[in-house]
Amino acid sequence: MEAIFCLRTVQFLERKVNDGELERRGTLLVVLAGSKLRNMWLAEDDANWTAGDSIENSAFVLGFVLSWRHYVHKQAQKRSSSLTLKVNCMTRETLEDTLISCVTCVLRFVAFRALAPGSTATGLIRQPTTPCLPRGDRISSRFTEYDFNQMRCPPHTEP
Amino acid sequence: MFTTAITRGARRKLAPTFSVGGSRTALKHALFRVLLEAHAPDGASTPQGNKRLFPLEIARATSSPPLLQDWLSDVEINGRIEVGLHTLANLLRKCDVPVPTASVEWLDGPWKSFNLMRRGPRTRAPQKQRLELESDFQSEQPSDPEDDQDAELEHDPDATPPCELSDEAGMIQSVFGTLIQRSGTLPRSTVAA
Repeated sequence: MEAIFCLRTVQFLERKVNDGELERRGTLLVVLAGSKLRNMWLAEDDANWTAGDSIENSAFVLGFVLSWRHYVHKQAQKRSSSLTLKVNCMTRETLEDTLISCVTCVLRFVAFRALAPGSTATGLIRQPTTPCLPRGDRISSRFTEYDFNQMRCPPHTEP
Repeated sequence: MFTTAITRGARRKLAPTFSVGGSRTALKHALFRVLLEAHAPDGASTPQGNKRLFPLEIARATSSPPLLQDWLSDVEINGRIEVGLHTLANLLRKCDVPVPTASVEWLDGPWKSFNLMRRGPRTRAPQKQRLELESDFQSEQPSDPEDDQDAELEHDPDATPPCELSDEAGMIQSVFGTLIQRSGTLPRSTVAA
């Protein structure tokens, strides 16, 4: 998956499209949307990443998949068109999963803001043994796992 | 918690990776090791073989997730969403896909289509009413729908979106018509070497 939905593939396709291979435009759009879908959750590894980048990426993917399906649906209604939702669009389940992922990506910022107002370096659960352990206000399942661990068997098996 | 949740099929799949010969205890230990490494402190080394199993967790364990920079206000979030949509619009135009000019409303049509899709199958109507509906359906049917979902959407009175995409069908069809098929496989030639 990472070999396909990456910047290198996007650049490769852009070169091909600029060279006149216009039939690759659709593939270019899908690969770009896929790479943004991946980046909106995982690009936090990048030093230049900001929270706003994730929101931008999710908005891009959201708009793309909705427009894609909307267009194919409208075309499928026409007798002259050969496009169908079955062949030329994502499955219903995949589309819904993608939309849920995009919406969740944006709403997590709202949720963090509501659940931990004023929090900076400490999180939702303060641990007496490691009070400075950051959690809660970082975007990762890793810190949620710390909390699960704390609830299961404090304080012996902190990873 | 994780090890008790894995299925028998997953065990068969994981066992050769760890070369544990099907030993359940050894497999548990191996999985715990992977989980501990995935949640290890920053900079922890991870064996190469484990990256195939939990690439995302390993990637997160070896990096430092940044703090949320400030608490984004709703205005900031909306602004970023606008930027993302403008980026998409520019790219669609670059690919000769006409996009609506009303930026505020340009997602209304797709969203309405999506809501119809989520509505699911209709509740069954009484027999007489259903016959009338079917006769209406046959008389108004513009084309032969290829799946039930399309047919259902086509005859819903709400199906006409308030914001139509521009209908320069030739160009836009050449773009969307070449999108990946339902099998989900991309042409091999598109993957950069």
